[in-house]
Amino acid sequence: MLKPVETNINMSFKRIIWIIGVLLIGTKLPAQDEMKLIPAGSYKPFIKGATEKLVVEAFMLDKYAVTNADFLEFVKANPAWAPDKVKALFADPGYLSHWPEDYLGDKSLEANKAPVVNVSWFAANAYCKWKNKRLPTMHEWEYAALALPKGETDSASLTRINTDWYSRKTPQHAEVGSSYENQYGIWDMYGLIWEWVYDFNSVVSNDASRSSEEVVAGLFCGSASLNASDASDYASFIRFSYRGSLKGKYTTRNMGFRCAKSIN
Amino acid sequence: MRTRSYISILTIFLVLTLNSCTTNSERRIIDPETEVKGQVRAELTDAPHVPPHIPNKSNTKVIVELEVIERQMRLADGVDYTFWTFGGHVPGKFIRVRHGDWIEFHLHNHPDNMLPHNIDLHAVNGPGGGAEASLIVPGKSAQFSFRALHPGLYVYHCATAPVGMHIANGMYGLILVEPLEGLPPVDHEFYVMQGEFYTSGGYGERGHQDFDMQKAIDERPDYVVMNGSVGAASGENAMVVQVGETVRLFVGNGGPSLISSFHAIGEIFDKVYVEGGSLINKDVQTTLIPAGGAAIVEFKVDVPGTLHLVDHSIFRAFNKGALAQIKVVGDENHLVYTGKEKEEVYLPEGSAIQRIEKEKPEPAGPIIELSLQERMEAGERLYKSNCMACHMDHGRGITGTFPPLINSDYLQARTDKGIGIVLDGLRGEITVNGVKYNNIMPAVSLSDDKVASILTYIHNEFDNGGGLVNAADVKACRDKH
Amino acid sequence: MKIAVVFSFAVLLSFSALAQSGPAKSCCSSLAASPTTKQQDLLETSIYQLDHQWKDQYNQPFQLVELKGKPVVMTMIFTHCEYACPMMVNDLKNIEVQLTKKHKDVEFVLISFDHLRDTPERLLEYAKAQGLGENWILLHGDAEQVKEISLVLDISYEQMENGAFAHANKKLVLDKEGTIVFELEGLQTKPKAILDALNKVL
Repeated sequence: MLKPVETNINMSFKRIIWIIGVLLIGTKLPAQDEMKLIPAGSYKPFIKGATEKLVVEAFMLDKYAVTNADFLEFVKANPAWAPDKVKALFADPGYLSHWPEDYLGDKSLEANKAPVVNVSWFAANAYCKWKNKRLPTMHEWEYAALALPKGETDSASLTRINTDWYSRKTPQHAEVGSSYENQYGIWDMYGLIWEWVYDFNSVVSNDASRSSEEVVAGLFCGSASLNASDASDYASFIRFSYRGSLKGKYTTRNMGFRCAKSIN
Repeated sequence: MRTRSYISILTIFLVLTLNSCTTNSERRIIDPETEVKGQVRAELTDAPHVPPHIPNKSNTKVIVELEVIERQMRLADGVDYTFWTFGGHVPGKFIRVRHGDWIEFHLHNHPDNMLPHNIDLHAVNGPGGGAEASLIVPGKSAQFSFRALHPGLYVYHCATAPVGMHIANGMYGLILVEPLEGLPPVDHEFYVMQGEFYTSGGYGERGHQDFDMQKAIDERPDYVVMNGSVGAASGENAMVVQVGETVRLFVGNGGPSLISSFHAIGEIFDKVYVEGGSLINKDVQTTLIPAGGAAIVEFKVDVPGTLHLVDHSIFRAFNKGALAQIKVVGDENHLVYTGKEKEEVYLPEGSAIQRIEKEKPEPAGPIIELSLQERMEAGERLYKSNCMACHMDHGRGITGTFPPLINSDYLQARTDKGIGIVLDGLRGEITVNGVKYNNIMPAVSLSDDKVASILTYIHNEFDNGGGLVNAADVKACRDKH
Repeated sequence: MKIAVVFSFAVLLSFSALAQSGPAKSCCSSLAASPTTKQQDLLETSIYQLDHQWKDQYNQPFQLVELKGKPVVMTMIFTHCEYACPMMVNDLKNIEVQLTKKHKDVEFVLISFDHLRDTPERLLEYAKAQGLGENWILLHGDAEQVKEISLVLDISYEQMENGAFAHANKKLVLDKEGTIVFELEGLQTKPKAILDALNKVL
């Protein structure tokens, strides 16, 4: 009689050890959901506003851009965002066009660590909300992106990454974590994909108006240079002109996103 | 008396009104209400080709479809660059429409591109020349329409911030707005466009080169080229015409920074449409083409040979690539040009000028023998002042135009160590290190001693096997003639 | 047991039906069906798919789908705007005076950028000061819904240090299903373009 009882105890004990072990290992695995703290600070925005330096409050930012695997989970839980169901108002016909037709049953897509692209702002925004997060604001994103690669002190190192990226284009299936890690522990701010920000449509161009100032000529002409804080920072020009040509429902082959979260 | 003054007043009045009538009928600016009939799809071409005139009798709707493609291509031998192009090449496609046509313009941004782009056509009367209506991200298209109100040859370019960078990466081309009935016929029309490139490495530095913003701001280009790369329109890619034919060149300058002093070595422009507009100048040697501007030049070729089209700020032509060629084939015409008739000895102090007949050459100067070291030193100086203009520093030459001297299989194969080339010059087609050259090297009139120094330098400095060329060798070669 | 289930089911249904009828309004906009049932058969292109809860100038809850069935002229403004928005409102008034009997259902909808200062009370003051009639609807919403509607309407804007807004100026015409059929950028625009667009959606 003793033997079976002992075996039982041994079994449950082993099971407990297993569970504890798995949990320990599980927490050590690099979590896709991991966020890093971006401490508060100030920076000189590319387009001059009323003040020279802008204060950015501390916030959390996703370590990696959202991957195809992550986004698949979202679509499975929220079928309204499936490629065949999404409304024309919220995404253009390119939405998730790089996914196979049988995306629900695709095993390789479940493990796909390339950043998700071909997503609109509305889709990105919905994803972040589903995760109880939000899209980073333009200033938060720009501020976090200023950080140099880990171990670098030369500001030209970022310029090099950008120039390289523009001339070489990201390989189609480059995974998150393939570009560089910056000093905040955030990966691939440059060199992988363009990223949505919450208020990308604050880049006011064309027939814009301020409450008491003159009408601004346009971001693509000379006026932006007059308003830009550094006229030789062409990488920023390019980013801002990209944002200025976007609409909320647009999807492009090299644009994805990552999420942020306020502290408290 | 009174009747006479009345008659004179009347005559003057009539003359004036009749003159103003003719001026009105030549109105350069078309009335936007002018009717448009039918539609055609514009045929677009890559340089140096030009599409044909649209033959419709009345003004028509012209549909233009232009695609922006970012791609890596050759900038110079062994040098790669990522160009941003209108239609796949630099310069962008040539667009040809008529004065008064209605143009429906479609701009496409290929989905694999990295960046947003737009277009500013200088032929458009409207905000940004169309730029404001055409800013698109990759994977999108934009459409806008405009009336070609003015005739002329106009530049178009991308105007997305940072504009200088988009232009510097090759985003420019030409649109011709010609009279409804077309320009007067000529035998050949070609498209040539000058532009600069600013690279992180220096001229000729091998490998993939990136755009250098600081050099661009400082207006210090490494490359100044015709039709998008070094040698794009020379050597094998030269334009070819026959003696006696008329040629029209549509020439653009994409910049982004430099003004071009456009000149055809060996020709005079019979007619220049100044700045691509309606003002005609005649008998012009060199015409200015502003950055972001154009010109139409016309000339008739009279003698065979190679015309070099250059920016006469000459270092750009010979050291940075601002050179294109038109090969003129056909019979000589000694009524226009004879080539060299005589060569003589010139003694400024002496009373008589001795003539040297080609059959009986005399030694030029005393025989001076020097050591290898001395020959090298002298040779370096002499090379720089006599040879470098064409054969360039390090003997690298200009591919397709002036052969390299460095490790030259052609030179090494010569039994006379190259002495004959220097003494007599060289013409006709030769192959050097696998590349064909068909140019004229003039005979270099220097003493045996100097020739010996130059050749010693070339054999040693430029990896041609070394060795010492003596003045005696040069004399011996000269005596054989 | 069965009867009890059926009975409670019936009670639940009737309660939900009652709950769906819209609240009373002091404004004269008439509503045939309730917002939620209307939302179900919206076209894919209709902006009324955005189901945000707005407040109008009478502090009444408002959802965009309530505009279904009427032609709409829409724009975004903020009341503290000194330069552009007065011109914009003026442009819209110029359109209004040219409307005839056949345009009786046309609604002018102004959505405010300024979620902090443009409260319903402030919007009502503004409407009165500007002399805006019963067919003008001014809407207040939180920052997030203002962002989303701005993206759908494609109107860029940015909040400035002093609380004012730099923004694009655009008039939109929506058809009775809520699909954007016409857009006009700029200020001091001629009424004709908007009127032509409205005539097409009557």
